[in-house]
Amino acid sequence: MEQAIDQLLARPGIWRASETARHTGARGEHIPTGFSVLDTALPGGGFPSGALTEILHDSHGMGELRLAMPALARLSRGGRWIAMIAPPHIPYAPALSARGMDLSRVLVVHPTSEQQSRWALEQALRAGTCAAVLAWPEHCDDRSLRRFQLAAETGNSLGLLFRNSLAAGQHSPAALRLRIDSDNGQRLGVRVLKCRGATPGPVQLDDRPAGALHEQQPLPLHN
Amino acid sequence: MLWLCLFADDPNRERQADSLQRLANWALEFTPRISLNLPGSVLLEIGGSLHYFRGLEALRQRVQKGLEKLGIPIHTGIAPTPTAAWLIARAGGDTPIIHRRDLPEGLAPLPLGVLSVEQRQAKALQGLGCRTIGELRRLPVAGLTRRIGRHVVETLQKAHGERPDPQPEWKPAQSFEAHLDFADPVTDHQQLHTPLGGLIDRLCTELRRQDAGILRVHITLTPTRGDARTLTVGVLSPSRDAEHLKALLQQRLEGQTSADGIIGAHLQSGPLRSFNNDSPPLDLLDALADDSAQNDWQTLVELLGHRLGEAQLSLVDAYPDHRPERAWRYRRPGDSSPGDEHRPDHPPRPGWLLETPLSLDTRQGQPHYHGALVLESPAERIESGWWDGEDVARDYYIARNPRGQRLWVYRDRRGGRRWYLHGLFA
Repeated sequence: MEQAIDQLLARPGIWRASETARHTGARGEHIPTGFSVLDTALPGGGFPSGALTEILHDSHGMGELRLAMPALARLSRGGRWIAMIAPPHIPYAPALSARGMDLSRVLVVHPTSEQQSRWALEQALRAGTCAAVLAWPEHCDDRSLRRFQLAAETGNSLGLLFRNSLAAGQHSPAALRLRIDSDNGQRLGVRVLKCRGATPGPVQLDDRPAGALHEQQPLPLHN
Repeated sequence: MLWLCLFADDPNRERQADSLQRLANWALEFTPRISLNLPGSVLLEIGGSLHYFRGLEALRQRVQKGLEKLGIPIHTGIAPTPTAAWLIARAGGDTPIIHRRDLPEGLAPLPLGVLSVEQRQAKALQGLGCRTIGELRRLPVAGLTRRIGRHVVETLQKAHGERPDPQPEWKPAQSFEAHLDFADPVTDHQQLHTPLGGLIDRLCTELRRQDAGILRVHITLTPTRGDARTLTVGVLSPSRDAEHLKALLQQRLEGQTSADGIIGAHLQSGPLRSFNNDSPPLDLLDALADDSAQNDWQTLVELLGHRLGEAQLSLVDAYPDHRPERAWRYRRPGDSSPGDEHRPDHPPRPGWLLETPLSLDTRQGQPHYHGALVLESPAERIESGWWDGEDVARDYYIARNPRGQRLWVYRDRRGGRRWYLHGLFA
């Protein structure tokens, strides 16, 4: 029964009062994370498209990019673009390429101020030309997050915000909030903090052969 | 054939041209056969549409109502030849001539002013006692041609159906533009919503008439001083939803400020796309994997580059060089890529590379970065670049610190054999 309702709700013609978007091209689409345990834990089976997902982590280098990489690799081959707004360091092309990213589809934006970053993030989300937009906002109030969420809905773009774990205590309109607990290079510990229609809790992403999560291996592509 | 001429008598040529475009787009509601050939006018072939609109009178009423709504001052003329309709409209009268045989009688009372004759010629004609077209027609053709020129005589003949009167057909534009001037500079952007909303309404009305949609709308705001600014609003699939476009535009306006007042707004649509409300693309990725994605991409690059500067946008390329800092490059969008992807077989590389390697403190010989580092991999020796003087000799390791960060560090094999942080396994 529940499945039938889910199917019904996934139809593009169905409008749900909980959603403010009226014009997303394909509502309710999800992008598999590439980690089957996580995909199972998330309703819809992955990152919600046309919405914000927050990835919270204590500091850089905790596996935060690795968590998104299989989905990004797949999206980069889907005809749309991956935009990185003000990444904290140089996105290292050999690593991205080894993870299966199509580099010709990755745009790096270098704004010179926090204000410019916000503007660029909103524009890229809204434009409809980016399958995913990655950003590392330093301070984010509720109002800007709502704007980003609206822009992501409009452009049917996956908005990935990488934020410090301290933001976990703050309210957020993001559809999905994940926190990186640990990463030992093979096993990625992730906690679901918030997800529409799912119970928060920890997920150990170690179900795949170790090699598949190893940087050296290009990830299998789904299309 | 029956022609309806809409004559827009406006001394301001630019505004007149804009009016004519609007009229022509609007006139598609009545007929697909439209011409902008005769000066200052839009000609509609309505003979084929009379049945559909239930007669001439009903059609005229609809046209009249529409014109009132458009707010463009217009004289109309109806006649079996385009030129006759044009002359009647220019004369400001609108008694329609329906049949060819009525043309001489109908055109006879029109004053000579409707013909584009020079002042000197007009005076000469008045000297001959000619004040109307009817009187002019009584003069012998040869003499008339000598006095007022072949062109005017031919115009008369075309009007009377004595000479072919072909009119090149006007085709609806591939894009839409409209312009707005403000009498007083607008300093508060909130006050722009209504007039800009009006432009969007006009756009969407045209789109409905042409059964089209757009993906992009560019609105250029002209300030009293300084450079004009262009705001771009974009949607993913062809749209003509005025309210949605207005909402998007409003968001774009919110962040905008300008010290100087805005005196003009110009709307330019992207290319018109065919619009099919019933069948939205089933698979978004499939729908976008055509060349329109490339255009959209350029729009995004233009949009971001416009505000941030092109220099702040780049792509990253992997480059076959063993030295980690040279194994990648930034590339400007639009520049061609270095070509085939070279994927050297090497141990894992970090997602983040530091701009410059960070020199690490050591305590009792052990490197520290937010605590003591534990090396988790065997050394990867990189020795390269002896040929260009930028040679390196390093041992790279994956290391972990007490914070749980995974780091890419190296020890220089020369000089002080110092430790450096070069990347983060994000």
